[in-house]
Amino acid sequence: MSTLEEWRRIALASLGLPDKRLLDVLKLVEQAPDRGRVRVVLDQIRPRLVRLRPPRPMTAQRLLFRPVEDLFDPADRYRAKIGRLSRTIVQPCWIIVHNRIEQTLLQSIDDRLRATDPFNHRDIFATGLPLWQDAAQHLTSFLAADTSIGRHRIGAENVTITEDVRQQLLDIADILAIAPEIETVKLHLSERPILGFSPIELELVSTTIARLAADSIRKVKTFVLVLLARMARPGDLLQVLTDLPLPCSSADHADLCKAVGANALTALTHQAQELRQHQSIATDPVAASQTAEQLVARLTSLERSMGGQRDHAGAQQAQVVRREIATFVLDNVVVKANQELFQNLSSPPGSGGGSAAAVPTLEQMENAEKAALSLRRCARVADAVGIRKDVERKLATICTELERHSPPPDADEPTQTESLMRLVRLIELIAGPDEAQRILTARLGRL
Amino acid sequence: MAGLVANTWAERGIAVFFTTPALSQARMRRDDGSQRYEFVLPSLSGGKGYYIMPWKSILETITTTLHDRVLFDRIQKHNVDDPIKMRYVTLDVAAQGLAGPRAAHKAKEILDGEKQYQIMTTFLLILQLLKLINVSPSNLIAHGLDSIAAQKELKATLRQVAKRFNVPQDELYVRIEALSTLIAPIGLPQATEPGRLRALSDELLQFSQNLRKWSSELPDEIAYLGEFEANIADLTNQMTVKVVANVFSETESLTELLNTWEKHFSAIREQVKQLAWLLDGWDYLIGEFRDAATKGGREREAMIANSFPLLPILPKSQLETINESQATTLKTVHRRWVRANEDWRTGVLDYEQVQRNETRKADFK
Repeated sequence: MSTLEEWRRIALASLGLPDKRLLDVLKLVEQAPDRGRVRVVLDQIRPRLVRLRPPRPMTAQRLLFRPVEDLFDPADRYRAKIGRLSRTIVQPCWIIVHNRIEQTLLQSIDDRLRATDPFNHRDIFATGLPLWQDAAQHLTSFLAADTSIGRHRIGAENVTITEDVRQQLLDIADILAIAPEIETVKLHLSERPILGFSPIELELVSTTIARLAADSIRKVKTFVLVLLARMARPGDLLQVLTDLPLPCSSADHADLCKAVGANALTALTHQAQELRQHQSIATDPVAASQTAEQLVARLTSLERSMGGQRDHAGAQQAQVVRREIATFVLDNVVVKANQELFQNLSSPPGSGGGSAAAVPTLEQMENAEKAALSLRRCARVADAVGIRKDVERKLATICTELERHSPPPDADEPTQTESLMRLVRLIELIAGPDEAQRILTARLGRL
Repeated sequence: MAGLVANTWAERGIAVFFTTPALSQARMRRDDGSQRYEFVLPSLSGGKGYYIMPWKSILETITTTLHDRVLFDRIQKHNVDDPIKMRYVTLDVAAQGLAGPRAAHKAKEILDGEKQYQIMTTFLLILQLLKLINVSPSNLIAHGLDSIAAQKELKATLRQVAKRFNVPQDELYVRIEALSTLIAPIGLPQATEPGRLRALSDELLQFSQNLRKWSSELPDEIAYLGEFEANIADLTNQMTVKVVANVFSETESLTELLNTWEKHFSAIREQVKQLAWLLDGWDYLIGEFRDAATKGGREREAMIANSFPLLPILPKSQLETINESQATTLKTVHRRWVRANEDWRTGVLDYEQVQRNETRKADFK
């Protein structure tokens, strides 16, 4: 079993296995030293993996960047000085750390990770502790000793240090220095985006901030900035920070909250301005409406928690965010909604009804529902971004069109009922259950 | 507000597959006085205890999906009073499409599959009968089951059986059909696949084993809840295994069953009902558990915490599983782990959450 073709055949055969077995096969394959073969297998089973989303095998390099992963942006979307990190920083940072750290430590970490269940976050956390601690020290000492701008020879590699690279390395060092706190909190909070805190989670976040504050306010700022990137409503965390007594003057406390809030708002503005460049989001009404809703939730919560601290520049930034979101959802969801919805129904309105045979498939119905739900999602953010009238007009038009959409007249009764139920269901998603009930009762004479 | 443990099945109520998030897995029961339906809702936002509301109050307080309104309408029309009837009404409404296209597809698939399973159960019962009069099924199927010759042969053979049991032939058919309909949720021991309730009972064991494994890796407090849930699953499984054994012993001797039909048939009916009550509500939790199994520790913690108020704890009439002080501790621990929910009184329906409940219908057993 040595040719790539044989590996490909095995990969194809493994597609017939149940999910759990397929993941077992993946685990075995990923241990193979020949990356070419691994890639051949992965290419074949990727569609299943996309659905299963198996945890990626952990390596020392991945583990090192775990505490900072929430701040990464792809190189083409990265913007300096807003507290984010470019993915391109991974390589130089790893070269520096790898060159200075004990190789036996790295080896033992890799060995431990190979034997660890990727779902076992506690073991992964324990393995990461010495790595993060050492890496933070090495990065700090590198930056202290050799921070000149330009090319540096590190081991067998060249690393180019720019002002921005230096700043990013400093930020990573700061984060790694409090990695135990960040990872402990992450271990106990829900996956990102965090929708809210339970009492026990709130207690954990508060005590962590208090403990870091006793050490230095700078650590608190680093901690909060990392955690903010995980929050669905960053204002919730800012509120915790504002309400918590910190061992510093009230002016310093206010400055800290203001700085963190301004940073979050700037990052949000940047995200909103970039929306239209994301073709994968812009062309998918579900992703577009979800993204818009997430951004509005972030903005609203930030504005609420920043309250009086927000200055003129902040207010202008908020306006930019609103404008960008409004244009984005109007162009990519609202305008296209009719087409998205009706192209999936068998007989478009005005065609005089369809035949009984032209029943939409399961996939078509799901697509029609997605279009309806996307529009509904836009309705939820419409007030916040000032497009209420546009969205309401669209909702009303679609609802009227759906109501006119008669079940096929030549079909038998069960088919007619099914067709009616499909329409009523879409009307419910667009206009709510009361309107759907009114139409169902009117057509059937009963519920 | 109601307590954690009910006294009887009727007080515990039947779990309802509503799709409105605030009503998800609400338990339906009859009000003591008026005998009208009322619903026990686990309190949201981590509040204390449970709310008890009649349907009218629910409609006044919560915006419900059209699916749930139609479902309640059918529940009333069919006078639903046990989990088996509830299940058929629920599948029927889902099949119409009001819980979304996927749930409709799944409901139709389940109903069709069950029809097939019942036909197979009938067939197995007939084979059992043939054995009683020493007729080999190979004689019947030599020409193919569908052939006229085979059908003739079968009828003639069943006439012999009917004669032996002193039962009119039509009545024999009726009894076999009634019996196969009744026991199809369990299935016969000789069937290649277990019936849906037996399969669910087996899944309880897997559920408890994995929950214990997870608990050993989770913080102590949540592990305490997980351990409790695993215990309840184990106890329920132990009871279901006994019930299934009882049904198997009843169906083992068809001679006795057919000779004293009324007595045995009603005994089996009670056992099947008991099994349905024992397993009521577990399919939803096992679906949640399966979801969490593919995810990490935090989702598992959330699953354990969110499952707690929905846990089908055995009523006191069946088994005392928990004392008052334990109940208080569990409730306190649970409250600390529940994340704040959106306020369900705002009247706005979140259809993303609704869809999540609709997807759960695919876990129906």
